[in-house]
Amino acid sequence: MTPAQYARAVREVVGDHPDREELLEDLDDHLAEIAAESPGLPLEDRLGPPAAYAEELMAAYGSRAQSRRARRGFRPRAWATGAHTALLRHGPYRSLATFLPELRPGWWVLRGYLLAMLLLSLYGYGRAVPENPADWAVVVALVWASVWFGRRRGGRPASLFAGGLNALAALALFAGLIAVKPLDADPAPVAYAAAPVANVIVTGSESVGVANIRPYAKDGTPLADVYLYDQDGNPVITDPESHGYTVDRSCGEPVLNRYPLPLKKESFEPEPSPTPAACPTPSPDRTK
Amino acid sequence: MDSSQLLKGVLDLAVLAVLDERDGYGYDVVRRLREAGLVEVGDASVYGTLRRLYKAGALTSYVMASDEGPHRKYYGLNETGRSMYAAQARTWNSFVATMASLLKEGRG
Repeated sequence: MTPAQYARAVREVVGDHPDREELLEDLDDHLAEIAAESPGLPLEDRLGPPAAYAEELMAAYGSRAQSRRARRGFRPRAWATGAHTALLRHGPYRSLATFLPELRPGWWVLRGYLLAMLLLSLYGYGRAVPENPADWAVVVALVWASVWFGRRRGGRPASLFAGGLNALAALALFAGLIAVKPLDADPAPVAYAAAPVANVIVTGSESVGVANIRPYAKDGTPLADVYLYDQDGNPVITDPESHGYTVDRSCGEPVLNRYPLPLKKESFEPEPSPTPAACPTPSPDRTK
Repeated sequence: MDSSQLLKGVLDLAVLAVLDERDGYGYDVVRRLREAGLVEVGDASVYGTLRRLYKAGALTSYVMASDEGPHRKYYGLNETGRSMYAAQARTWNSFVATMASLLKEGRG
């Protein structure tokens, strides 16, 4: 914490003390003396937390109670700082408060990553990891910018901006956690299988192609109205249209796996067929 | 016994004593108190005390250029401050004598 940041935090706790100006008159000089005496040593290590400094200053000045009364209304930030000071008396909280600042650089990196993914998701499709070199470039740029911004010592506008960025990054993290379903949270295993095939299409070779199937009995007698199914019970059908034929629907909608099919050439000439021209016996649709 | 609690009661006198010796700026007063043996004295306590004594009219204040950095605001005793120091010193000496006597009787 720089002297300016430390002074700002002290002033925040002193709030609207009736003798605020008098009380804080030497503050900047004092902090500058300490910083010059021990360069590199954090002010908090030398003077304790800013809130404690402010409380001690007001107590020594002798008008702490008066200052408390003078504060009107509920001031969330002053209240939070007061609570922080009170909690610092407890060891575990003090350890946590000392440890958390060490995580700052990690948060800067994470913040840059989250903002990059948020940006990429807004201008493209939602994704949680970079998927191409352009994504990586954006991630690297924003991580660098986030770390640079975290390391610089800014004033109040900068800290407000940092607060906004942190809130945005936290929001992105929250949204990401909700969107990504943890693997172990899924109660039911999901089996992935090929979609059921309704029909098996026989296409034959590209050069010949299968438009129709003409079944014959062992003695050479042509068979009619033969239903064909594959090993799974799916109807075996052909694709006559791709071979220049159309299905003759003059007798109604034919069953497409009942062979031979009543086909016509595109020229509207009926396909030569050994089967009689009479319409087959109506039967229920068995193509499912 | 926690000496920091005792110190709170006599910090005014300690600061007056240091400034009676010679004028000093805030941090100089802190250092001189520590060098004198009051190692537990808090920086903010000294600065708060200086501001209160100044407000009470016991101190004068003036700014002097410094070779080491920015100008420093020095504090010194004025007539009111010297009277205050003398009165408090008498009270303290009397108190110490009483306590010493008490403790002697306690030991004996």
